[in-house]
Amino acid sequence: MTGYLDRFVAGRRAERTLVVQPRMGFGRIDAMAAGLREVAALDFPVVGTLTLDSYTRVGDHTTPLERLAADEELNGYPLVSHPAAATRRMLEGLYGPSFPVQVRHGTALPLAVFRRLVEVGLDATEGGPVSYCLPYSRLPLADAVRAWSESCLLLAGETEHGHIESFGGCLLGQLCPPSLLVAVAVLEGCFFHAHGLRHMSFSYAQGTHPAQDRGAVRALRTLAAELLGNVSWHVVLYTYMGLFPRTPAGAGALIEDSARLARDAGCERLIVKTVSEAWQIPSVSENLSALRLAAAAARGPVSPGTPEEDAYFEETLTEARAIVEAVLNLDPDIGTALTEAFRRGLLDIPYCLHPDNRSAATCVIDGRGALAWGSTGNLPLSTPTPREAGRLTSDDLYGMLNHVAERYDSESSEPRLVPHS
Amino acid sequence: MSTPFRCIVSTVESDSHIWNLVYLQKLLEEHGGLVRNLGSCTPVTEVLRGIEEYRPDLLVVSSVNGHGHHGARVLLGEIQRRGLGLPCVVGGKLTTSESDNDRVRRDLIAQGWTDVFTGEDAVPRFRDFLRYGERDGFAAWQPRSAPVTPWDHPELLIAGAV
Ligand code: B12
Repeated sequence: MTGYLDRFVAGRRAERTLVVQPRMGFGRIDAMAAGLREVAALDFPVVGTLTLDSYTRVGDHTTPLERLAADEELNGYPLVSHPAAATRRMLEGLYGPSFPVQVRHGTALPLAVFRRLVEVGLDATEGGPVSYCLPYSRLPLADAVRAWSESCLLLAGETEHGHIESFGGCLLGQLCPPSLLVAVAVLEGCFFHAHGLRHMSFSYAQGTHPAQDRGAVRALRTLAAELLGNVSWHVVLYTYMGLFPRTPAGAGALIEDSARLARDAGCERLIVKTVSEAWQIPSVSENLSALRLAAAAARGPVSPGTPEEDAYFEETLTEARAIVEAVLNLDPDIGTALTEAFRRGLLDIPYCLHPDNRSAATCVIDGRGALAWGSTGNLPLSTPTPREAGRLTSDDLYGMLNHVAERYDSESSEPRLVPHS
Repeated sequence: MSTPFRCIVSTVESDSHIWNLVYLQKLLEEHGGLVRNLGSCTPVTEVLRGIEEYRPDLLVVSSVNGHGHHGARVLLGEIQRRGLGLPCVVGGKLTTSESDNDRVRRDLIAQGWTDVFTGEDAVPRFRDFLRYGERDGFAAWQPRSAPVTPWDHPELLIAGAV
């Protein structure tokens, strides 16, 4: 038996249809309810989302209501601040087997969020001790590990089929070699498993190069099958999570390419961005348009793999496996292993300012336009890296951050040449 | 470049975005800044402590998550309460809607921010500010005033002119 999300995704997979999902969240209950209603009414397979605001993410549950009272907007739904009964009423008649709802929250200490999502009758969420700590807070990783242990046990105990999606495949959203994303996603899966969870998903964020992405998703599936054979899992792709194209045409083309990538790489679910991404919180109608665009683009036959993809698959799998093994060998307790791995630099997220990150590893975009290690720091990898060509200037860094956006924005006025392998 | 100046880079407590902070640190260093980067989700108390310990010539606050307007007001309020007068600038995406930019800029400058950098020309304007500061000191900077749109003009609204 599985919960609504797992069953829904498995059903659509059997029909070879990609499930699409927004990253939608509004501060006011009526706005959130209207958004959910409109998403639920779409005539293709969608999962609903409650994206929480960033006061809630840092454990501040009073400011959200104060700001709403002062007539300001929030960047998400303050699940813990609004009365549980109000959220339950909002979900009534919407949430069900044909419309699962997931809570996306970005909290390093998630217990209050987990308690509330269980209380309102939900069972699917997102995160992980690493992926919701280093990118989302400055709290010590050891504190997040402890809080995530407790929270996972709570979800496993209080729900019949609790589901967590690891955010490990995203981390800082951009400029991270795929092998580290794959490794962290799988390691977090092992952490969830050790804490009693049997339903999960692994994320992977679209990168800069389609063949590399396809290879990486295959590597992710391979490792997940090896290490987590006895759980129900699927793979969720995120439309590009870095600096987004600014033109509607460029943004639309990137969203469409992410949907084709999801289909071609055999991902079951896609978290879709909108044309407003580069600017501001998107409206409901922008979310609906983006979901339609993605669902339509994902139809059609799978395009065949290439030798280039195979090479990226081998490379990503070798690196990711080396990282996962090095971490798992540190300690029988996976939480301790994760903390120790960051202390030693066996896990090291490029450019992350979190105090527990060593910041010796860096990432560059190579001549093929793929993500590559600039330096591997203390990571357990023997991948050769370019001799550090001096320090990155602000323009160099911005050029890499802007690489994808630039490409799509400049292509957008021309007849589109889809960079498909 | 020229004489180094000391500078703290921070964000507001609810904002975990990092790339903006990494980018701004590099930009400031290239303009002669000696930067102490306090990292994401910066608590107000850490910024206050940083100012007291490091005695910077400039505080640069960047927020992009849409809660920066509120966070910046809280932060400067505390800085003023402690009597820690220093040039402070803020920029990024400060609310959840681009159309708020002019109103928010006016509000924050009125509160005492030296300048507010939002919108597409934020970085070029900031470079001008840094060049000016290196020459004449950041405190002497006069921010360009933001245009007041009719819908942001309470008297016009009350008079029923729009
Ligand atoms: C990468 C990213 C993330 C990563 C961040 C990882 C990390 N820890 O750094 C992840 C995926 C974790 C993430 C999470 C969230 N994000 Co985010 N994220 C982005 C994204 C895609 C790119 C940001 C980026 O890398 N910028 C690179 C830097 C160099 O550019 P920049 O930040 O735009 O800054 C430039 C200018 O703004 C300016 N600038 C900025 N600050 C300052 C200050 C001064 C003084 C000056 C002069 C200039 C200046 O200079 C920079 C160079 O041009 C943006 C959308 C986009 N821009 O495409 C959304 C975006 C910033 N995120 C957003 C939001 C809301 C969130 C979340 C709250 C989740 C949610 N509800 O969707 C959480 C945040 C949690 C929290 N506690 O804050 C919103 C903010 C909305 C708004 N302001 O209206 C955006 C705009 C997306 C959107 N349209 O919804 N995010």
